[in-house]
Amino acid sequence: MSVNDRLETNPEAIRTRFETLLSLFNKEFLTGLDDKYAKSIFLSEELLHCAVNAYFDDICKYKNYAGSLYADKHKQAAFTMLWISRYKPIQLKSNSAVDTVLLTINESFAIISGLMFLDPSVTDCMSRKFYKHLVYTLMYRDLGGKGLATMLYLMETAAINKVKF
Amino acid sequence: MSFDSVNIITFVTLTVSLVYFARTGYLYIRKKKTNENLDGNSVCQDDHYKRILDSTHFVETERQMNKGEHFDDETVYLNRANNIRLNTDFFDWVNCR
Repeated sequence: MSVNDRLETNPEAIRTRFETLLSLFNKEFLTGLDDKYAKSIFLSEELLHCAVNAYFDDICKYKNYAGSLYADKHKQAAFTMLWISRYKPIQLKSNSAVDTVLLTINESFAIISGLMFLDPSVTDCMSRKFYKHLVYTLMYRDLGGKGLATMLYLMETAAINKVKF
Repeated sequence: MSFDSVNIITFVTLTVSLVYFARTGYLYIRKKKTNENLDGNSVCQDDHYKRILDSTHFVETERQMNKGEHFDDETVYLNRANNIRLNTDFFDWVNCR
């Protein structure tokens, strides 16, 4: 591909990713949650689709700049996390007993959605404290996709070298 | 008009004229030299520019070297998520256990 060819977002790729994240939610995320939390939430597929669309639009410009066909996996993970936590596709059912878990449920989903792009050792080497720090970062820090990608790169490098964090 | 006034006026006029012609001549010679330099450089300009291109090639193309990663079959990602759920403490953290 020539660097002068402008990359456009691919509708098939968007659909594939949307269906992957839908499966992730239904088969893994809901299953991993305690029953009381799983029963208190539902997924807005429309908001999830918006998040996926925004991800592809956002990452497209970096691919155009670099002339890359695919983005670096840390960018894929970071921008996925970012757009899911921004769009908050997981909604709370009315009359749910809301607590910290439910208030940060989108950030939790965003994190596992991002981690699936990285080496499996990353979650092995992560601590509860670091996980909470990631949740806090997604909720409150104005880190940006590229900054978050750098952080994920450091996490993965540490994990590959068996360093706990 | 007295002779002294005439002398002064003549002197001033001559001085101004001298300065004017000297400056004009100087600027003409300077412009001619500049043009000669530019003409001289145009012979080397392409080589000079090529040297710049060669020395900056790596930095300017480095960002294009990362071709990224991609799996056509995204079940790879779902398998990783399954591993996270089954074999790590991730959901203990999510559920605040």
